[in-house]
Amino acid sequence: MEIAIETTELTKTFGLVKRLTAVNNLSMKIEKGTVHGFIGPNGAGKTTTIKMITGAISPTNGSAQVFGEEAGKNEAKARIGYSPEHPNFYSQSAFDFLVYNARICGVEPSEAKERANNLLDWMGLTDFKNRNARGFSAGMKQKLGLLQSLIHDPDVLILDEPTANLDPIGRFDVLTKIKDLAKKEGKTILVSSHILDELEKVVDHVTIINKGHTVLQSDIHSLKNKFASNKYIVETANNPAYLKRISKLGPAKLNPDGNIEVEVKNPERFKSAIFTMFKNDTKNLGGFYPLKMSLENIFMNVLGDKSDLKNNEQKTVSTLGEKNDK
Amino acid sequence: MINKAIFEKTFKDFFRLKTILVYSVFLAVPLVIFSQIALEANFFNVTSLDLMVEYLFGFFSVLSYVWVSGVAISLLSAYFCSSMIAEEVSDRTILLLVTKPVSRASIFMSKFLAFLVSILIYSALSLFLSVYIWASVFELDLASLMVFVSKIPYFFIYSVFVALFFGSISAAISALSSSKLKSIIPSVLLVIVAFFVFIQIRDVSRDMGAYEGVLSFTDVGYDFGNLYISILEAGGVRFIPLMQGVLGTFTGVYDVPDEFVDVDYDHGIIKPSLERLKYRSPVVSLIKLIVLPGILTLLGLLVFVKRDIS
Repeated sequence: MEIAIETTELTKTFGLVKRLTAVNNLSMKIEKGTVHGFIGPNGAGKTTTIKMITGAISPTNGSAQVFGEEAGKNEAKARIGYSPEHPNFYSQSAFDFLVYNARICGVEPSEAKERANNLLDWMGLTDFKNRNARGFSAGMKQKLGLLQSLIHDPDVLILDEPTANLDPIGRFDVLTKIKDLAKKEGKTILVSSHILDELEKVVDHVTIINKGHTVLQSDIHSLKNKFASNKYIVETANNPAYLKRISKLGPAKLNPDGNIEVEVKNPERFKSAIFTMFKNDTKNLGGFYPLKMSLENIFMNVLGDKSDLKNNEQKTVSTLGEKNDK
Repeated sequence: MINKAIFEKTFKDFFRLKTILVYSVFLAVPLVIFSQIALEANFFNVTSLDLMVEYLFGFFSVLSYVWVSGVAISLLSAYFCSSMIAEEVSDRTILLLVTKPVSRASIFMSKFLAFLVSILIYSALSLFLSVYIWASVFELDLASLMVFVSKIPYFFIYSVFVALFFGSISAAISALSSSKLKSIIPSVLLVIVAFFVFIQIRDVSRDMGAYEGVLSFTDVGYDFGNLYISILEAGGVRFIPLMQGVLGTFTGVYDVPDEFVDVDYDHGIIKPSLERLKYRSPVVSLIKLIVLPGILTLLGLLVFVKRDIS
């Protein structure tokens, strides 16, 4: 499989006196034609990494390459379309803005106008094409930001929080379009987002980073299998009270919903043990079932102990995240 | 190296109607006020028409040095160049620009070239507008008007050096800064120092023997004056001592006597030319006004190429 983006020990340190390492030896590979989720807690270094790949900032150490070209070079930038989290525009119409961006990239004026019209139509912004982009709502700005990233028909799209300012319908619309760009046009998409349940619907690969380095990189299918295979959820009438007893069956904790999440080695033996435990106490057992891992669950498991995301009430007996880290 | 789209957009931005109107008023108001005061005071009401034209041209040359091709063009250059990078940074439009497949050197040079072309047009139009105002107020005949018009190219050459100097300073600061205001303030201060502050401190420091050396080298107003008078002389202009005295006060190029310049109006006798002060030869001033902007522009370019856009 051809590699679209590759970073090797990518490092960025800011400040001359008070040094702050935003990205620390980050290595990752993004295959061509995939939709790659790039997730991590606030301050993990996602945007800094993206900016190094797009050439906005230069690495302190390491390298980033786009289809084998050094990030920041024109050859690399020509293959990238970048939509920042908060796109800003000149005081000009949406149409003029898109035409200008196309022409910067070397597209002929007539072709630039045609592309601008097509893209505005595709995003449903034709009625607003002559309006000053600075007066757009946050959601419309987000959409226009996405359009300018497509104006020179790049192979790779790098989208930083593309749905951040959109309403639910707008989010669905944009996510569907992102999916289409990958499936129908074969574009490689690196998308950073905090809305993991939505991201899960479009990504086929994911990289989780924390404190500037890669914690996990996998395709989403394998990831879900890996994390879901040995976890069960147990609902009881009094979960905190039953936690200690159930911990004897395997490492267990209270999940954010207040239910008991338990890691089991032998599912059949676990089921049998649960039936035995509640044999004379069936009314206190609400149910138990295999945990269906969402991207958010995986994220919480992987980073739960390493970031500040974790709820203090979640008293972990043992987490998959720790296990995975080891 | 030059990105046509960036060049065109920057050029268009410099020629917004609002900018043209504000600049025209800024340029014209002092000219109109000064000419009206001079008219009402019969300042140029001398016996000979030739002498009157000589006076009018001389004072217009002073106004051109200080205002039309001086302060006005230098402030406009500072305004344009301070917006080149700093405004894009403060508006956060720079991020999309630098991630497009165009080198930062090309972005910078395209914008700087747009500035150069724009300022040349503004300079030429400023001079024509000023000559028009001057000629209208003093009701010059065609022959007298042509004396002014024929010298416009020489005023224009001077204004190019002024624009280049202050434009390159602003461009260099703009490449470093994240605020248009912060990048324009040093240039405005330098304009004030070059054209006004040195008028006050030049004579005093010369009398104290402290002018030569560092102070002389930093006196860019002298270099501009040195170049300005040389350019006009190359264009066949010979200033009468009174005008040399006025120009000397502003530029520091002539040794202006304490009793100023004595002119015998009754007999039309004009005293000999004032002595030209040669702290630097015009060639050295020319080199200084070419090399310094060149270094500053290159510095601005290097800073912008290396700068992280967060």
